[in-house]
Amino acid sequence: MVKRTKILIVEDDLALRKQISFAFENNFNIIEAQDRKEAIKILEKNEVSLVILDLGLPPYEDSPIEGLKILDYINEYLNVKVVVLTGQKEEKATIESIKRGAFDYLPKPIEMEKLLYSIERALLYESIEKKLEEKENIKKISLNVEMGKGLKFLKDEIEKKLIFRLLKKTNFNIYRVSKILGISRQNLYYLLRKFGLERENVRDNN
Amino acid sequence: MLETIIENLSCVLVLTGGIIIIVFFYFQIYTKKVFKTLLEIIKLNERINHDPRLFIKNSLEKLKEKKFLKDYSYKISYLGMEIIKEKDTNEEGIHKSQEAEYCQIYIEIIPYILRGERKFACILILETLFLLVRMDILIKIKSFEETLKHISKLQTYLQHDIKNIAQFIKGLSYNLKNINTYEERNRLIKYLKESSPILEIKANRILSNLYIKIENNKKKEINIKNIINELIKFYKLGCEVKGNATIYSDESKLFLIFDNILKNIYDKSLEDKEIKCNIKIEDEKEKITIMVKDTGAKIQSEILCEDIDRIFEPFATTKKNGLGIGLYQTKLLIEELGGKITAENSADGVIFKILFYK
Repeated sequence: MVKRTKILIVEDDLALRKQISFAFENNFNIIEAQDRKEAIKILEKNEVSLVILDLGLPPYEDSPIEGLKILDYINEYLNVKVVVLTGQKEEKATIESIKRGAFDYLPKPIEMEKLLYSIERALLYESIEKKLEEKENIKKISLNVEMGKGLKFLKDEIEKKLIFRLLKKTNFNIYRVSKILGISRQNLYYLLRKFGLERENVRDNN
Repeated sequence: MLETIIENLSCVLVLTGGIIIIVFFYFQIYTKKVFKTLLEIIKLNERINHDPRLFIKNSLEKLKEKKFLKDYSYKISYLGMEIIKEKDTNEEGIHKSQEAEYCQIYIEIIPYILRGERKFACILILETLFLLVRMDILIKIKSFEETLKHISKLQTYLQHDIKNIAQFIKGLSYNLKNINTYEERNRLIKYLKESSPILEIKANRILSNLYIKIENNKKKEINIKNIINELIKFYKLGCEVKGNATIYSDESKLFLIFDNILKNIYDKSLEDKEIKCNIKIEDEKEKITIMVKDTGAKIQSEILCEDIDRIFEPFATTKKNGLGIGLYQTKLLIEELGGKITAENSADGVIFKILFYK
């Protein structure tokens, strides 16, 4: 059986969620979540390729707080493309979403054809990034850097993010992470202490 | 000789005494007139609902009528509006002005006589006028800003639901166009059946936010437990409902009442997954009592803790981005149905007690 691409739809409105699911479930494996906690639980247990994300989620449906928290989580721990589909006030929410690494931002209401086009583009990017990672061992890490803080800060941020992701992927396997990074275990332990990374933090991060 | 001096002195004393008495009476009458006028100005301001535009015009005209002033001029600007009244004469009077970020006030009064006690009376009148105009402008600006804030909140709140409905319609029309098989058609119908209760709730919520008073009096026998259970199922709440009662009432209003209360518990459940709620329906001879209790934390807000009934005030909210209209609307709807709602802030959470008379 062909393994179908998994898409997570995070939308609190059941009626709308069902229509989006119906539109794409012939071609994709659709998973649904109605709030942040449910979404993060699904993202932890499933290898999702794309997230269609509404920002206004309960209990704050009229603010982007909850949706942006999901984006923060994805940006920090996963490599998943996110297409934001929301009715939030546009300019501020757009800037915040893009800052947090969203692939696209679509304001509601939008033609479904445009949503489909955005999904296809995001999946294309995702598959190319995956190929690069598999064949050339190139991993993409996105960072929001405040200019003027210096190169040392930038280096630390990259190191921290990379180590965090690898620890999460290997379920805190120190031996494997040090092998992948090409550093000694002592060095890795030093970096863990430096960045305050502990087993509990890496696992319980929602 | 001495007699003449005494006689003249007594004449002077009598004359002086007379003058003092006349001056005393004059000041008494004049002071009374000034204070009476000031009081009238203050009362006028109350009567015209602290409208700065009406107040400045009417009060100065009144002072002119009473012959306190010969002429006046003013220039006031606030909230992008400018009100100007030029002088009719070229005479100079006394003026007071203020230029702030939010408003500009300039008032000049030209009295008939500007010396002695009349000068002080004019200064007193000008200061009072100025203070009242400034206060009225501040009230106007503050109430305008508050209204704008609430409208913007309401707009955001409504936008969320309306945009979702618009997106739902776009999704549905796309799906209807792309149905190819019977299996797909049946699946879409199944989804629509699942969605219809939420669409009804959303539509009711939008309408209830637009119209606080819902003029719809379709009364019938309603099973309260059924409404509550439907909402519990919808919000996936861990609620225990004890007792039952039927009431002859308006179903859509009852639905909104319980939707507002249970939505609050649902919102809390997103932060506290362990939250439980107990609902007790007591059917008595002349009344029905419904107690809704949840195990979420008690209300922390200092103002609401002191007087929990303020939770029913419009725009009172404990939520970060709440509109503060749900419980206010609930109270209005219950009262419209002839009932009562009270709240209690217990250590285990909030208890709502709803009373309906049969």
